Amino acid sequence: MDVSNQKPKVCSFCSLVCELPNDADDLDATQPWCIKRSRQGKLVPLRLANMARPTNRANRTIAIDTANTDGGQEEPIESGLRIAKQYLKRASSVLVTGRIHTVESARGAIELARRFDALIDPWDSDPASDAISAMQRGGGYSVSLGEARDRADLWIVVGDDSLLEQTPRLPSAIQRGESVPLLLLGRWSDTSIQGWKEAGFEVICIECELGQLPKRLGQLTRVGQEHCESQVGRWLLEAKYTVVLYAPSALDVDCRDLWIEALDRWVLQRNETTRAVSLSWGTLQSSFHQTCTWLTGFPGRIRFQGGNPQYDPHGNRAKDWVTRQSACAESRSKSLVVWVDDSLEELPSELLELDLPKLIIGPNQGASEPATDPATDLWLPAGIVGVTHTVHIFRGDQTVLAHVVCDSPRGSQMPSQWLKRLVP
Amino acid sequence: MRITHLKNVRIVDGIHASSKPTDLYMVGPSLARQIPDGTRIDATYDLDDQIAMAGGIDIHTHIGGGKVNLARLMWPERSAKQTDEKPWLSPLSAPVPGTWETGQRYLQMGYTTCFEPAMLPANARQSHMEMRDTPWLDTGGYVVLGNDRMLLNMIASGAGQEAINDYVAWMVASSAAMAIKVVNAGGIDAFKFNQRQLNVDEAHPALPVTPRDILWSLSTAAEELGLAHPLHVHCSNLGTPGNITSTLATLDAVEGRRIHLTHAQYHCYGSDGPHGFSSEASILADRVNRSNHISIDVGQILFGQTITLSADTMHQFANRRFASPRKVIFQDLECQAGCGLLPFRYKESQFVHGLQWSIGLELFLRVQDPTRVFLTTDHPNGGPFTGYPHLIRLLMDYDFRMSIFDRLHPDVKSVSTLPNLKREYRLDEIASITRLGPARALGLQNRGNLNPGSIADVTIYRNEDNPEKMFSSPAMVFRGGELVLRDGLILGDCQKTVLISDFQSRQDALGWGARSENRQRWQKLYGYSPWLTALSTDEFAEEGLRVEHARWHR
Repeated sequence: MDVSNQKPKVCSFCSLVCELPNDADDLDATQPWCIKRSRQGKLVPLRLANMARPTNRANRTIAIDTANTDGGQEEPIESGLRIAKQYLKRASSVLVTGRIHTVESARGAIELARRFDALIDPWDSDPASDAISAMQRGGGYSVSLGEARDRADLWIVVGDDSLLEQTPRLPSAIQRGESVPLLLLGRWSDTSIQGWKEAGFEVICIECELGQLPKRLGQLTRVGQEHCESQVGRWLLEAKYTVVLYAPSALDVDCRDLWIEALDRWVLQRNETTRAVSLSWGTLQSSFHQTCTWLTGFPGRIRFQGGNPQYDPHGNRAKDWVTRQSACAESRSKSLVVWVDDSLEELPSELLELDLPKLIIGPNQGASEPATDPATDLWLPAGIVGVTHTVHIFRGDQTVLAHVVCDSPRGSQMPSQWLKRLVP
Repeated sequence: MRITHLKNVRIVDGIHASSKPTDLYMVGPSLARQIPDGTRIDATYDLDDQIAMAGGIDIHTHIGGGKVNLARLMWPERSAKQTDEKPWLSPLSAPVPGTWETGQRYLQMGYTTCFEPAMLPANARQSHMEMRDTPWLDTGGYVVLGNDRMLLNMIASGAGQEAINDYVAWMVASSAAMAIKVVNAGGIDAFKFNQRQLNVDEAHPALPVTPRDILWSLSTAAEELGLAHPLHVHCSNLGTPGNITSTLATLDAVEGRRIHLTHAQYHCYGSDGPHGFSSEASILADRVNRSNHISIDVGQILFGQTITLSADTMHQFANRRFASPRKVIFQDLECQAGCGLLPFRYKESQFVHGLQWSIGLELFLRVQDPTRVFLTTDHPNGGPFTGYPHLIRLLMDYDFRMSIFDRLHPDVKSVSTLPNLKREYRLDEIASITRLGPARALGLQNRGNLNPGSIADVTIYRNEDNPEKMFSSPAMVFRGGELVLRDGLILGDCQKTVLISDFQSRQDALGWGARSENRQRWQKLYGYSPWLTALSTDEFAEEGLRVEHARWHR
């Protein structure tokens, strides 16, 4: 049995890692996909499809046509590596950060950080870090996507429209083909509510401030037991398998870690008599946290000292590191930010505005190119995850690790390949 | 081909009982007892009567997969007892350390092959990835079945054994597994329907299926497919007083087919005595002694802090009040199983913990055949694998055993029969419970022994009076004929191998996932095709791993 013929094409642009139809030209128009086929025939994330592409390339960016490296153009890669190694050698304080979405890039980034006694923390790690902190303090009862899809007889979806912006196909992915009650809590637009309904759910939306929600859920449960005349009360009372769905990255609450901890407490408590679970939906960055955990024992926010990881979830935050280093003129010149990027998104403006040397390893196709500072920045262009190279990516529930196979590698360097060659 | 000569070495592997020093050669990656005269030898080590054993094999240790990573995540604190002088003698940095530390510490005890016993099919790729990142160890995993809704539906609808065999073959092949593990057959799924207990002949709350049906179907599938390792069973009623009844019922359910009972210590409890908790180790050991088709690993507990992790959410949830410190994590997973994690501290002064310690040792000492009882702590559940040298000393030294027994809760001393068991394990028996026996149970003929032609994974131990010291720090470890460790210090990397069960219809097994009716059923249940989570051996090659197939030698 030739397994390779059976492997599905997998979309690597959002954390649902959906299987694509065999012919991507036949993307079902009735389904909300987060990708589309561009006029050049490439698959591109929908949210980037209309983005204008600036044409100026920074002077010190090493422009390598990695697609043609087999044709004797190896020199630019070597020269890029040589300069990058000089940057690393010169730096006395290194931050490894970025948007690290694959197991391969995570391995490479962690190894680089280990060898240079660097601090490593993904750029937008606050949501994941808060969820991890809550779990480390109190635990919880969670569920994977497939289980929730099959067993849920009541969904409580908490958050706002940004959940669907991040993962447009989520409603159809959790629908098992029959009408299931779904309670939408938070701030949802009519379009989003309609999206949940069209996926086949029986929806009640209650607009509310989320801050007090875990407490309110406890009250609602008690009210449901005593006064089951309301529809919501009846749903809560009759549910035998309640799933609370939220994404830490789409939660607009103060003290997110405490909020998640309180919600998890409610879920655990509910299991004393019935069944209830939470589905905390992670971003593509989950792949970094998982890989970092198995390699080092910690989920990120670590600083290596003598090759040993020191975990400090508050002290080792990437954004705090750049603030500290930027504040001191002496530190600035000896610092280096290594930015590893598996996404096709623009570099964040707060990174570009930093007055610190940067080594950027990321794609050079399909998205705007970084307006880096020609005096200090170096950019090593990489291919596109799942399009020009094969990678492993975790689904947002962190249960399924997808093998995203690229059919036609175009010779571009993966971030992990750059990283491997940067390690002494 | 590199040739290494181990001169004046005493071979102890459970098969050969050399009373005087002899020669052992490593020719490339294989062992030899002699080589042609005049052959160039690259390295010679005169070992002065030191002991050579095969590389250790841990048949049941949680080293990779979702719940293992959760355990790492839930315990960010680090042990303060690390010593710089001989770090390999320090406690682990955490109950479940990262992959690098795991590989390093196993190698530093002379272990070279380990098996993750609970791979969820949907999560098998992650399990293998983690094991790939565990250096110096060859690895394999057992796929968890018996709570997967697709199988339960098949049994409930009377699909027939042939159809079940095809499905099981697909699950084993697509998970790249060594064996089938069943955890609390049907119980994990029953808990998802809010049932809190499930005995062997009790029906699932939503389906007309009993654990007995599941055990029968899976043991039959393992036998008829010819899997290298028998059905690997975590019984119903884990840790519950009186569970010896369901354990014996489990053994009956397989009707004489091969069965491996895992962490047996947790499954041979009575409900007598002042605390309603007693040992029935003698009953289980007697059953094992009378039945050649049964093997066990013990799951010995060791006193101290650990994290318990199991797919058995039903019983982990029931035990949540014992979590220390007070935090618990549970998951329901992908219509296939679940997991539950509880930090736990085993205390000498606590009656139940003391009796559990004594029950585990009873099992070791009462089972007569050392190739059918294997040394495990069910890492990290009973304690960390780094406690093995201590456990070996407990087995080899009666006085040492009793010195610890004397410290236990007074009621343990009044009910336990441990003092009457004067048996002390010999070195060859230690080789059997840590190498030869696990290898045979796993169908690995070329591992676990020092026969000519076997893999040149060799551990050299110094002769020491104190077995704990001896097994904590081997003089040398060779992997595939290469010296990778000397006096605790790691010298180099080695080629890693992933071990997979071969079986008669392996080539056809993956065809199951290509048939349209199966694809549709899978898609309906999971929302994705069977191939999204299926592993191919090409993936191991991409990761630089060698693949070795194990076979059942009937």
